[in-house]
Formats: sequence, structure tokens, C-alpha cells
Amino acid sequence: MNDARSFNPLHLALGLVGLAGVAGAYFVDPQRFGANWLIWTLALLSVSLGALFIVALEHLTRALWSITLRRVPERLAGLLPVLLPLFLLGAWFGISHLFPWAGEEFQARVHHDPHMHSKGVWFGRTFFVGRLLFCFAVWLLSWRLLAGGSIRQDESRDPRFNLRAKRFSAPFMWLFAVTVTLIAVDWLMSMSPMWYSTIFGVYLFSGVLLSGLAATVLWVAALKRRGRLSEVRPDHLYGLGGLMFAFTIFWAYIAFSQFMLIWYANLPEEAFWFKARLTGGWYPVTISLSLIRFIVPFWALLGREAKSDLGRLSWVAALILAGQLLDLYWIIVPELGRGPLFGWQELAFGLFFTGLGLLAMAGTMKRGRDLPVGDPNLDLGLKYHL
Amino acid sequence: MPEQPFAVLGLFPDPQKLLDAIGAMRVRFGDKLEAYTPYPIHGIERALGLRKSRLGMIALVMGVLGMLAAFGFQAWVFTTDYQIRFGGKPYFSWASFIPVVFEVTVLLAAIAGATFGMLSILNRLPHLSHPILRSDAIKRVTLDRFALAVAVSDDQEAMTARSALEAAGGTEIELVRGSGRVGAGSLFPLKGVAVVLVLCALAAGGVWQLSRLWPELPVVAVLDEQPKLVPQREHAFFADGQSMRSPVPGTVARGYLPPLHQGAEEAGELLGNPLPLSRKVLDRGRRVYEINCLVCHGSLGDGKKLLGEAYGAAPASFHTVALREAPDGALFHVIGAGKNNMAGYAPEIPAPDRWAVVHYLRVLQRSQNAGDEDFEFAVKRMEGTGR
Repeated sequence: MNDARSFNPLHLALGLVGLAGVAGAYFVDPQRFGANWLIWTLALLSVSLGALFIVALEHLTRALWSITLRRVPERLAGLLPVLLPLFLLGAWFGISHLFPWAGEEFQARVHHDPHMHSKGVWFGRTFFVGRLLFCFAVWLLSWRLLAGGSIRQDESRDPRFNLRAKRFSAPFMWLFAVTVTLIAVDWLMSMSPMWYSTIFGVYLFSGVLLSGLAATVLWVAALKRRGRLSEVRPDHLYGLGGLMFAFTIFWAYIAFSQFMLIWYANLPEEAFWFKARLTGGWYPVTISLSLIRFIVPFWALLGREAKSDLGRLSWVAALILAGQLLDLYWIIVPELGRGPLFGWQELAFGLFFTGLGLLAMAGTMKRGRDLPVGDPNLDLGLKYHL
Repeated sequence: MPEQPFAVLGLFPDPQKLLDAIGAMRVRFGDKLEAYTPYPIHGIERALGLRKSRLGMIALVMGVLGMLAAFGFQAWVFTTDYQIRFGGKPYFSWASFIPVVFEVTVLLAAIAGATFGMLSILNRLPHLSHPILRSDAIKRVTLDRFALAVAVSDDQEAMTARSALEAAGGTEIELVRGSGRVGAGSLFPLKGVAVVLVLCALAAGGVWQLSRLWPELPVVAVLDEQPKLVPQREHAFFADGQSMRSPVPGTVARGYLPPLHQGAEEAGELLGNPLPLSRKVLDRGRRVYEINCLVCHGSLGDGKKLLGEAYGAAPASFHTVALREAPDGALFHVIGAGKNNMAGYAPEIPAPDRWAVVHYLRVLQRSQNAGDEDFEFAVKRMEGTGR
């Protein structure tokens, strides 16, 4: 988290060192490159989409507590335009290595396979990229309307923006549900074309919202350390902490429901997905995932004081972001039939995308002021107490 | 009864003024202050200097107990007490315990912990009387005012408290007399509860004893004697004294046409299959066969039962000469009426479905006893589709 005035050369250095490693990784093992690329782009997408959802949720519910914090998720959502080229690059380099349906052998077979022929229409490169572009069109438009409008309001002080944003937020919820489900189905579920779980879109959504909340908490903490956002009091943070706690439980609920229904029915065309993750080297990863995503954050946020304690919230937020990365790793890598991998490639990707993310955030941080000064309800938000 | 001063109450118009007054009076009166508000006010517990409520800990302990009890009980039942193998899973299948563990955890945390713990342990309810309830202030508190009470023990203290409340902006200040304690009282009516319980026990025992002495005594007459017709019972409502009605003479209820034949032989002579031989009928027949017949007669109809030797009877094969030559009506009759160890399936399978099964039996018979013409037809068909 950089200061708004200038970019940090350290982040650029991180990114450049990482970039060298990332480029090398492509030539050594293109499949592993594709998997890492997908993990990191989806992790950054989770942060920015979750942030966009928080903004829309505030407008829709007319929440007062989050007005003082709103500029943070608005800026985080500014990562979206950077992510579009990253996703297109991922599609360009990764499709053939990650998705079995992209192979000619599969395309020749799909229409004769009784499990698959009804899915045949869905699997094609053009349609796949088209769906991605549709999703990004929806998100970028929503980002322009919600975040862009809010920043313009700093100058115009036009209270009609709040009404427009509220009216837009309702259909946005629907569009958000559709697009997040599309991404979950296309970029994660279709790695095993036969496998399906009807709750998978909701599963990704829970991680997306948690990532948005966690990134918001970390950013607020970083700004407060620099003496900015001093208006944000524990009363405001309580809302973030409460949502983080609630969606930690929501994630566990969705993840366990998905697991239990598939485990119970034990149908071969579904159960193999979990079998791969509950045997061999992946079993300890699965256990760690439940610890990192549910058990530790649950106990850490259970108490009432914990939800408004910025120190506690910060480390739980860091854990939640790590959990989202691990979750994506846990979804993606076993699909390639590989054990848990960790080596210089993963480190390089970590450096590259952390550097890139922080650089991009330094850019988006310059948008508008720290508080949405044009919002007519800002006073009520500043005075908000539990 | 001469009553001593209990508390002085003042009213405030909004929560902020109440909080300000508490701030002003806290140093002087300390834990003698108690606030009464129409709804919970965040931060008032800090202003009054109340220690943290133990409710969260009670709910946590009860929740954890519920979790352990539910998990332990299921683990014991499924692994030791009553082993049932389901879905080929191990006896100790912890994932299947989780929904019940979750429910019991929430139940105990919410009901035993939060609700019962709050009402009986922390609020000390039932709490039948409290001097504050007799004040005028409490009537306003249930509407639109916020009250601050100062506990006093004599008239001198009451005077001090009155002037302090006035200085802090309180209005309609009043002195309440009585005995007890400001805040959660100690008037838990143990004796009263005991008396009620003893009375309940006496009443229950009395009724039980009376019903032993006079068994015909209708204890709950209203429930026992309802003005309604009960099947298979006598009732004076209809002239013939029966509660159930017979069909009007000369009529038959829909779907209850009695069989017009007696025995398989007569059925074979009288009845023909009313259903056309079509793909749809055969699919239906196959489905009904697979649901009801396959488990004993086998998927090929050769009597090779899936149940294994544990089931002693020997189901018939449909490929004997006798059954291949048996007329449709005879097969139909046996499906409905049963034969030897086989029960009649008329109650389970409606007549049209039984006829569909008869068609399907013919298909099975032909498949297992194919002639040259069937073979030639099959060859022609395969050549036609190019497979």
C-alpha cells in the first residue's frame, strides 16, 4: 500500500524481478505457468470485484457506517481495467494448457459422450473469450457508474448521484451474480469438463466478497498508519469486521454443503473432484484450507471487541487474502493431475503480481479524495455510532 | 408497612442527554446509578461502568457443550451402539454428523445459553415485583423517555440525589419508596416457584388417583368425545347405525371395478391385452418391471434373483414353454393376484401398468428365445444404419 503521491520504486523492482521469473516459468513449464497466472489474476479479480460489490451494497442498503470507508473499495475496484489485459493474456497463453476442452481430441469426442454432449456448445475458444468480455463489460460499466460517479461527486456535489447509484445497484446485484457464476464455471469448473457443482458460483462469490472486505481493511489500516482517514473510528470498522465474520461462516457453510452433498451421494462423475483433494499430498492442503479460511478467522473474530479492533482485523484480513490464494491454488492445481507444487515459479509469480498489484493500486489511490466529500450523507456517516 | 426511600428517578428526553448526565454524575454516585431506556443504547454500559456481561461466555460454553455432545453421541451411536452401514461409508463418517452438530450447537448456544442464561441467571427472572415498577417514570420509559435512577437509603441521600439530577438536566424527578436493589434485584421468588411446583404435582397426582378410582371418569372429555364420524365405529348419525357408507346399489366406484373372471385360466380365456404394442407402452412396461419385478425375476426374466440365496423362494423364469405359451390374460391375472410365494401386485400396480408389463414380458421372452427371422431382422437393421 503505497502513499498516494508517488509510486514506490521498490514495488517496481519487485515486479521486474518477478517478471523475469514469470517469463522464464513459461518456457520451463507452460502448464504450471498457466495455473499460476490463473491463480493470481483470479485473486486480484476477487479483491477488485469484492470491493465493487461492497460499494453497490452500500448504495443499495443506504448504509451510513461505510460512507467514511467507501473511497477505499471504490479505489480497489479500479484494478478492474488493469485486469482485463491480464485475463486476455491468460486466455492466450493458458487455454490449451489448462482446459481439456480446448484440445481437438476432446472436441471430436464431446458430441458422442453421453455425459458431455449437452455441454458441447459451451466449450469453444471464441465463445469462452466472448463470455469473458461480456463479464468485463458489465464490471467496467458498473465501476464507471459507481466509483467514477462518486469521484465526480467530489467536485459537483450533486446529490442526485446517490439516487442514480441506488437505482443502479439493484440490477447490478443480478448482473454480479450472473457474471461471477460465469467466471466460476468458465475459468475454474471447466478445468474438469465433466465435473459440476451447482453451488460453485456461490462458492467463488463468498471468496470474492471476503477478499474485497479483507483488502479494504488492510488499506484502511495502511492509510490510518499514515495519519489519513482519521475520521474512521472503531464504530465504522465494526461493520467491516462483522461482514468479514459473517462471510467467513458463509464460506464454510457453502464449502461444506458442496463437499457433503458430493461425498454423501458418492457419484463417480462428481466424487473424483474431492477424491483428488482428500488423498495424497493434497489432503494436508485441504485441512490447512479449512483452518485458514474458517477455523482461525472464526475464533479470531468471534468476540465483539475483535470486530472493531484494527490490529486484530488487519492480521485476520491478511489471513483471509492468503486463504483466497490458497483456495484458488487448491481448486486449480489438482485439476492438472499434479501434487502440491511450490518452487521458484510460484515465488516469481508472487513477486510479480504483488508488485504489479501494488503499482496499480498506487495509481488508483490517486483518484478522488480520501473521503467522499460530495456525498450528502457523509456527515451522518461520520457521526455514526453503534 | 413504612417504606424507606429506594431510589430517585429523573427523566431525560434523548439518549445523548442521558449519557451526558451519567457522565456528570458518575464520579459522585458511582455504581449507585442505573439507567432505564426504551431500547438498548450502545455505549451506555461503558458510561455506567458496567463490567462486561457474562452472557457471551455462557452462550459460548453452552454452544461448545452442544457441539461436543452432538458429535460424541452420534459417534457413539454410529460406531458402537447401533451400527448401520449406509452408502458403503465407514461407521465413523464425521461429515454426516456435521449438520446435527451444527443444529445442536446453535440450539444450546441460543436457547440454553443466551435465552435461559440471560433470563434466569443474569436477569434473575421470574422477578415478580420491583419498586421501580411502581414509579411514574417507568411508564414514560416504556414510551419515549430515558430515566436515570440513583439508589438512596435515607431522606438525606434522596435530597442530594434530587439536586444532582436537577443539575444534570433531569425532569419530573420523583422519589420511589420500597425495598430491593437498584438494577437487577434479588427478589427471586424461590418460595413462590416452589409453591407453584408443589401445587402442580398435587393436582397431577390427584387427577391420576381419581382416574384410578373411577376409570370411566373422562379426564379430557372435550377431546375424547368429538362430534365426528370415526371409521369402523358405530354411530347414531345414520339410520343404520354405521359410520361408513356402502356404495349405492348397482354402482361401482371409479377404479374399483371388481375382476370379471376367476382364476388364471378363466382370465386367459376372457381377457386380451387392451394396450397397443408401441414403444411408449413398452418403455412403461419396462420401467414398472424394473421397479417391481426385476429384484426377484431378474433383468432378463430368467428368475435369477438379485436377492441372493438369503431369500429362499425360487422365482419363476418366463422362458419356460408353459409361460411362453400362456395367454396374456393369464399373465395379467398372476401379476395382480400373485402365485405361490409371490404376493399380488394389484394394490401397487394399476391395471394399465400391469398390461404394459405383460407386453414387456413378451419382449423379454422373445429376446431370450430368438428365432432365425429375428436374427435376420437384426442383421438387416445393422446394415441399414451402417454400424
